[in-house]
Amino acid sequence: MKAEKLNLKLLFIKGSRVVVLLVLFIVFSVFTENFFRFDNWSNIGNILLQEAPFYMMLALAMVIPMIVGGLDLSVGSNISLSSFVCAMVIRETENPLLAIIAGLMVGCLIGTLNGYMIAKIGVPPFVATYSMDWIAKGAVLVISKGGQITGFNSFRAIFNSWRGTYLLISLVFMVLAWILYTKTVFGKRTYCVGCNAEAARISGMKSAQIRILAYLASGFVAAMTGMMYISKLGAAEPTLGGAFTMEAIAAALIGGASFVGAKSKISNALVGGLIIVVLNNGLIHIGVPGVWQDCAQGVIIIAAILLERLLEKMQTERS
Amino acid sequence: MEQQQVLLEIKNLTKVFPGVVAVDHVSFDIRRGEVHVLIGENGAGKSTLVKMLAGINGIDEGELIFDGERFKPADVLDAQNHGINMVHQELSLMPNRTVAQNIFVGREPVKEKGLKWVDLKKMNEESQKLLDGLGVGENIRADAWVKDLSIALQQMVEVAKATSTENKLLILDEPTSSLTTPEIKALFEIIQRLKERGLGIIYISHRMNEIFEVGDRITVMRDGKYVGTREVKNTNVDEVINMMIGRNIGQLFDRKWNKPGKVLLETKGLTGLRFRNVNLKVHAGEIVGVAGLVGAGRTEVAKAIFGFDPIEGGQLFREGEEVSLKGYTPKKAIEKGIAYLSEDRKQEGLFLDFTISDNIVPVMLSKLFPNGFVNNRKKVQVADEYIKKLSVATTDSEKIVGSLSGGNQQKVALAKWLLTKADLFIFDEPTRGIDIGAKAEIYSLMDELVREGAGILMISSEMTEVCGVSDRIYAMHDGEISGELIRGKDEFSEDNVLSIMLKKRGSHE
Amino acid sequence: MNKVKNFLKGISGSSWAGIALIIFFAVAIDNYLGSRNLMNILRSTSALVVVSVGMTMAILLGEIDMSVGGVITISATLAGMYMQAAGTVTVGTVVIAVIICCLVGLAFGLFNGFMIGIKKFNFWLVTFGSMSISFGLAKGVTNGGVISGFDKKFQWISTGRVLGISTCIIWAVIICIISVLILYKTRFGLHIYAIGDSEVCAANSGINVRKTRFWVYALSGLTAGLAAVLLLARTNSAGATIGEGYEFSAIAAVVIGGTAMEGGKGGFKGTIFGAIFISAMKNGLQLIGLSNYWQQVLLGVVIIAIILYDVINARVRFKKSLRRVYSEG
Repeated sequence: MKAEKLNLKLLFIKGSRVVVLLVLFIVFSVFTENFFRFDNWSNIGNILLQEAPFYMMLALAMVIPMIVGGLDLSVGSNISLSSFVCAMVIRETENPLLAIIAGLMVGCLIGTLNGYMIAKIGVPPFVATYSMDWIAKGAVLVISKGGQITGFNSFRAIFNSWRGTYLLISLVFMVLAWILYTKTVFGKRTYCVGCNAEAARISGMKSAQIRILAYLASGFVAAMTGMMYISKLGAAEPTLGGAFTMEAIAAALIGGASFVGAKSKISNALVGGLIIVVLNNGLIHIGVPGVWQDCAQGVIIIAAILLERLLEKMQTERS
Repeated sequence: MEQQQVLLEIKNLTKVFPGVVAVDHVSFDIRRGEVHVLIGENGAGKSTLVKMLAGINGIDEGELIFDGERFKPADVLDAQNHGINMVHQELSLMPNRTVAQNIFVGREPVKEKGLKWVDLKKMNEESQKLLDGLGVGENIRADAWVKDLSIALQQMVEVAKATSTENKLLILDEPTSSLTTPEIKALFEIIQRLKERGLGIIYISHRMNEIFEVGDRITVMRDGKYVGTREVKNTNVDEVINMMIGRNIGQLFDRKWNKPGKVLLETKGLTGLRFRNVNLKVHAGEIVGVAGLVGAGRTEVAKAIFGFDPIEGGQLFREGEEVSLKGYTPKKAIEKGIAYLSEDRKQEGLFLDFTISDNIVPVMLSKLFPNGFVNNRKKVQVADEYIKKLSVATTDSEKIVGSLSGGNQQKVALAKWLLTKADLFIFDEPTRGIDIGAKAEIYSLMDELVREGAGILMISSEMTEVCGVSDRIYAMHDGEISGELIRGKDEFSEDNVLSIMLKKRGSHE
Repeated sequence: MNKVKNFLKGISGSSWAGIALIIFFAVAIDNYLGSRNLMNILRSTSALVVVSVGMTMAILLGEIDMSVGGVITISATLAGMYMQAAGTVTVGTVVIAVIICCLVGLAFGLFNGFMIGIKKFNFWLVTFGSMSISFGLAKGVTNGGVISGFDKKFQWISTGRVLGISTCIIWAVIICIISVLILYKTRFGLHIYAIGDSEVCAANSGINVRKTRFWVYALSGLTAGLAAVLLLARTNSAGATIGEGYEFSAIAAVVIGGTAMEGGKGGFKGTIFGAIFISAMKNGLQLIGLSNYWQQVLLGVVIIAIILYDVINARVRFKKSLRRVYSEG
């Protein structure tokens, strides 16, 4: 009996972020008329299908470098650049597959450069990825000459033919990332590098390579997010990336990820993305106007870390 | 003893942490002008006790009578104001500040009148006076950057810092762990000066030879409790060890000497960033000790042999076959059956946030899980096997390594390498910061390994260890091998090792 | 001659790059180095240098205060709204507006200081949260819009003249002097360096680490509030985006000025030059006539290139120095 009780508490605390999600959901359902009602399922469905995937992907792009103890501030510009390149390729070749590959390659290139600067040259991640952010911003300005591209309908059709495409893609990414980083030897090595890169090297691991791969993965995910995004918007322009980096950090942090190496989990991205989405929409339903959403996001971040501390205290008091 | 000779009376001192009584009603006294050694295994409570005296830990029960008055330090500053200072085991100096700033950190002198601006000139002058008073004023200038000083000189700065206030009681926690013999002698001279000034000194150490050289009395603690106090001149190592662990452990270095087998490792003219022209050999069945001063280049040689640092010249042979030095990495070394137990296990040897099982498997991941997917059950199985083999003091393979004692941590680090079935082990300071009981276990393990045909290259700064455990000893000085001693042929004494350590190659017969 | 040579050798590569850029602007723009433009540059530095004071202290601790941009924004916005609501503006109104600005800044600083210093939360999370809240609040109360057109009396704070020098420069100089004194000549300042260099050592030596940290963030918030006053008075407008980018400019000013991000090294003297340099760059880019977005991008690229160059250089020099020391036997 006691063992069961203990396990439940542990689950409660370990899944504290999920708790936050549920709490938010319940609070919003209770306090608003429209949120949880039957005819609102379509709204919830809409949120899940159209908005959540993007936040989850953004969070994922941020969480992976966080596992190796770094961060990626270039996510926003990565999205701008790779999506614009993708649009350009469509415009020139009308070949969606080629366009997607081109976009992904740009994202991977950015990620690899980040990784190289950080792992091989030794530039601190903050500086390296922030530089890349500006460089990518400049690059997309140059190739776009300030203009935008629209009307790539055949490309959009791929994603928009079925309503669930975005969600499916993001879940596939999530599951693959989860399997890769939690269940495989490669994932274990990545966590080792994140925990202690020197010890990992002495254990025969190629620390530098693993870190570079983490940033490459981040770039890959960011690129995919970008292409999904322009497909949803129907237009590609140089300033697209904008506030995405901050959203990614917020989503990752809210989901429980940490800048301390090896303390983040892939599930943090899933939960974090969902929390942000529920939050944003819940606020709208309460009647909080859009302009107050940023503020609410900040309050939630603070509330989340307070909650985590509280749960930690409860756990140590028990033992 | 006359009452005024007693500086500090410790009565029933107790400290309780959640789940464990760290210090359990301990009572003894410290006299003026004596070096009082405090000894005990890891976890015996000696660090916790002295931290209570220094104001770092709060006192739960019991009392202190310091210099005739009841006293309970409220915090570090309070203890310092009363004349109690502590030099910690881990050097805690600020590398990017000057010596003077380090000495006066937290109590920087301020100008008397006006707004209380810091008086930098006074700080430097006072600091220099202190350093001169300790006899190191020539080597250390008050305005030097701490990071530019050698570890030994930094230790002196720590001592200067601790004696910079009106000092009555000085606590030294493992002060010699990063020093080599000549530097230790210099430290002892300083201790002598302080004794003459009437300071009481509490000296925590594991090193028996030092204890008997510098100590006046020894107090032994075990499991948080007081065991007994002896005058140094009236006791011996065996009695002390007996008091420490409650039993005789017999011979600490219980080696069964083997006939050396084939050459497992050989280097010819190995040259790297901090070493030149290193020629050494390790045979199967032998433990080869490597002695030398801090900075002699021993760890660098070890890391180079392991592929961790680049090699610039010379050759490396593994069982007679030359090893290609291009692109030589730890991974390749491991494939060739070489293992490297780091000098700094916390920084380089272990993943402190991970579980025991996650610390044992990292090197062999692809061999253990060839299909690329980690099987948790197998992982725990392997871990349990090695926990048993090495008698790690827990049955839970999912315990976080950071919470284990030094000795157990080292065992986990060792387990990691045993799993690789290597036969050439490089141990870098294998028993640093480990209590006697665990040391004995590690020596016996090393003995077993070489009996089964492995070879061990052991870097150590502890003379007794080097002399007690090795079949042969190399000495390194300033990046070169300066001499070799062979058991049976040469004299294995500390003095002899020291003399070849300090000789430069070439000035040897 | 040797002295000159040594001095020239001591200038870092990035300083040369900075000088090269300045020369470029001087050539490309008429009167870039003329006294009129130089005064312009100094004027626009005033707000940046004030906020960089607080940032310098945070970075010396080895941490970062990400919230300063947002704090500037909300402080300026609330002060601006007060002045608009006040109707007729008297000197009293101006004083109150300044106080509001500073108090709002201080409030956020105290919050950050409490959460990070006393309650030991992670500085990333807390300042990030504060940043979101402060920017968000500004967006909310202004409905995303802009407030502008304040009374001349208030504008005097930045645009007035005393003895021929702009008032904003005078305020900035005063604040700089006070900050330099605090950082180098008080125990508090020395303790900041101590904690940044080795927190363990500082704690063991009896320094009240929590208190010091608390005050560093409190002061950072206060300087953000002060910077908001200068900014508000100079630009004559407030809104949800007025302080955007200031946190990065402040970090850049500090890092270019030679204070390392791991803490314990550097100081405020360098930050002043860093801030001036960044303003000079902004000014130059604007005068060349590029669009706003291009200005931002190029400024970012320049700053980042300089920081990158320094970091890479330091790594290379470090590796080389190891070689030198040990090959000399």
